[in-house]
Amino acid sequence: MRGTGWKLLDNPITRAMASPLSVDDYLTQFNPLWSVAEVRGRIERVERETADAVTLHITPNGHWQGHRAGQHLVLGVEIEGVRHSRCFSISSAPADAGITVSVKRNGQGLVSNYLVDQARAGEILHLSQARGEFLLPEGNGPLLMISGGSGITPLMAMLRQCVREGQQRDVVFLHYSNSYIDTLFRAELRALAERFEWLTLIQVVNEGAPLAGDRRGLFSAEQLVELVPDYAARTPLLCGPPALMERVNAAFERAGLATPAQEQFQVKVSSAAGEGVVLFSKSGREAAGDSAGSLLELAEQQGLNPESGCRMGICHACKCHVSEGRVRDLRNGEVRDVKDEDIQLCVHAAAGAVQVEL
Amino acid sequence: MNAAVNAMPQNITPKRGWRHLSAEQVEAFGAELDALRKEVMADLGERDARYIRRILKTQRYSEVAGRALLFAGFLPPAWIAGTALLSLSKILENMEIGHNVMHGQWDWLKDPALNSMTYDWDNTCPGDQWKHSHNYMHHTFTNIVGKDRDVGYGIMRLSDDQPWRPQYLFQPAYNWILAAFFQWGVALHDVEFERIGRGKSFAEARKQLSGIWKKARKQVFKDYLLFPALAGPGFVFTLAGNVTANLIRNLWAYAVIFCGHFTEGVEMFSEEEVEGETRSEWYLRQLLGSSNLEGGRAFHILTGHLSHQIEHHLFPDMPAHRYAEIGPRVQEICQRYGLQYNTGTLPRQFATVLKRINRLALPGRRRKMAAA
Repeated sequence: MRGTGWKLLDNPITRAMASPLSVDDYLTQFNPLWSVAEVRGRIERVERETADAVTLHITPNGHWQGHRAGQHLVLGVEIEGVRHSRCFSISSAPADAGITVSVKRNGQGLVSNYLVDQARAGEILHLSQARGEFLLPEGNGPLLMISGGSGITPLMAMLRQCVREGQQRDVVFLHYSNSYIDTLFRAELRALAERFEWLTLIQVVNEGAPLAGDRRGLFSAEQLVELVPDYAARTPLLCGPPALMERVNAAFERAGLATPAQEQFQVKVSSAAGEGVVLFSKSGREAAGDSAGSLLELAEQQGLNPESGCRMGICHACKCHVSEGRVRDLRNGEVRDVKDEDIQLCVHAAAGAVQVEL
Repeated sequence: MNAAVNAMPQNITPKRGWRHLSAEQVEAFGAELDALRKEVMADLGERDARYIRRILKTQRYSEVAGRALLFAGFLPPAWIAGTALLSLSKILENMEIGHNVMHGQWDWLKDPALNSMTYDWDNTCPGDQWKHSHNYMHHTFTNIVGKDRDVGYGIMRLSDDQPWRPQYLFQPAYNWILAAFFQWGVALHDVEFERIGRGKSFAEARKQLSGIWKKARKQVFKDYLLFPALAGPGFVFTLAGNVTANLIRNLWAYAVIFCGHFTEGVEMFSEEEVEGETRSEWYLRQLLGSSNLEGGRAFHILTGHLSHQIEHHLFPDMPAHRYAEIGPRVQEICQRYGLQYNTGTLPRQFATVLKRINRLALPGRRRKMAAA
């Protein structure tokens, strides 16, 4: 059923019948993909790309409004019963049936690792609509796509769109990865480059001998000039790990050029501040974390009036959204990093920079 | 408070039920419970998620089936089955789902449908007011006469320490009215009528009442107008089924909840006694101020695990189905410290509640423990 069909089920009568619960609270029990408004999807197939990367083929429900190449979505998955949400770029072209998300295992990344190792066909995912402004430039001008590691995914979506739409656009696809065997979409990229005159594929690898036309090593301004002499005449697009993006941006700046349109897929983790600073984001107040015990006391010291109750961690009245930060659980002294989590302010103190939505 | 009292260690006042424990023993007792809590909370995972999702599914299916059967309510078997299923669903929703979700027991799942900040239950009491009167007032100030308004709900005398008033003569009777309309009693509970004009402004009370009306009218509309109307000619049958289901849920919730704190041997406390209370002493007050009900697995689920009132009061934000698992361990800890662990069957415990209601209707006080 299309999105509008479901919306018919969401009317004053059905809402009154479900009250105080929502219509979705009932629909979901009969089929987890059913909802009057939420985008959800089923994993149809898990395709292994490399030893540590997979592509999930997802069929979204009728609420999915489509995407533009380069956009990402928030994907929520249940791991050991707990829902975790992360952003992933969409790797399929808008014209493809269904959507694909390509995921690479990522150190301690709970969600990425789960998706690579354990995601199975049939699993239900909670999705957002596609979002993001990192898009294929309009027109027919020449492009330079620079990607590193799994940063290839939004650029792959753009390249696939060029192919599907028969755009004979001059594209240089410059990709940085550890090795050929590690490279996402390697076979498809090679095949496309052989088939289409307009596409030039250059890979720079860290390990192993580079093939003809490819290079070994890291990005440098000199290398860019050598590999893509006309790079300044192309519209650049960039996505990769923070280190690569910094280097590329610096090279463009030094050459007096505008930095590429870009998408960060990994936020660089700043080292935890020695003495924490707490930012109350809604009120815009800032306070030194050590000037009070709990975050609740700190908020109150700042003249904020968060809801509170028992002040001992039992009633959950003071629960508040923390966008990110490092906190200490005052009950056991454990320090942990939180991101997009509701925590009880009365039993947590700042143990580094913390951003509280108050 | 004078300087001499201030100079004394804060935990100097031994409470009745634990006066045999030294300050160190009290702290050791608290540490054991802390460790138990930590152990269970660290173990939460898929099993717990599966449990609550199964309960949700049972509740939603029984509600849908119950309401559907009531559309055929002119057939007596359909009416009986429909009413039974709807009662079951309302009991599960209020007790094992609503009450526990609003305690924050399932917040860790990060499932918006089970989040304490957004969940609202199928009850005339608005969720936000419930969280104040229950999660905060009752769970923090449990059994402190004058602070915990669950002691008598402002209309009954359930502790010897409450001064007698003539109206209490009638409490053995109006107790049953409260039981039948329990959700309405719960709804009006946080308005604190007895404090209006005395520490509570009319404006605040009016705001709360409008919140209750906003919430309650939806429930009334749904159960007593919308679904009966959808039944067309079966209006009366559906209406009767819904009234009966709400009544059954009310009586059940009332019985379970009154058995939580008003059984024989449960202790009450005064505000002075708990001044400067440590976390361990708070544990002791929760333990001695609560009482359990014995029964099988289904019974515990239907009470929302409030049959494990003691465990619930020790660990209010622990997923409730874990109470049954840790009950024996809590009991064993209590035994080692020579502490009462008040438990019994529902009929036995409820009989002592009725005895208390009848006895305290009359003036006079009797403090068995204090005399000891």
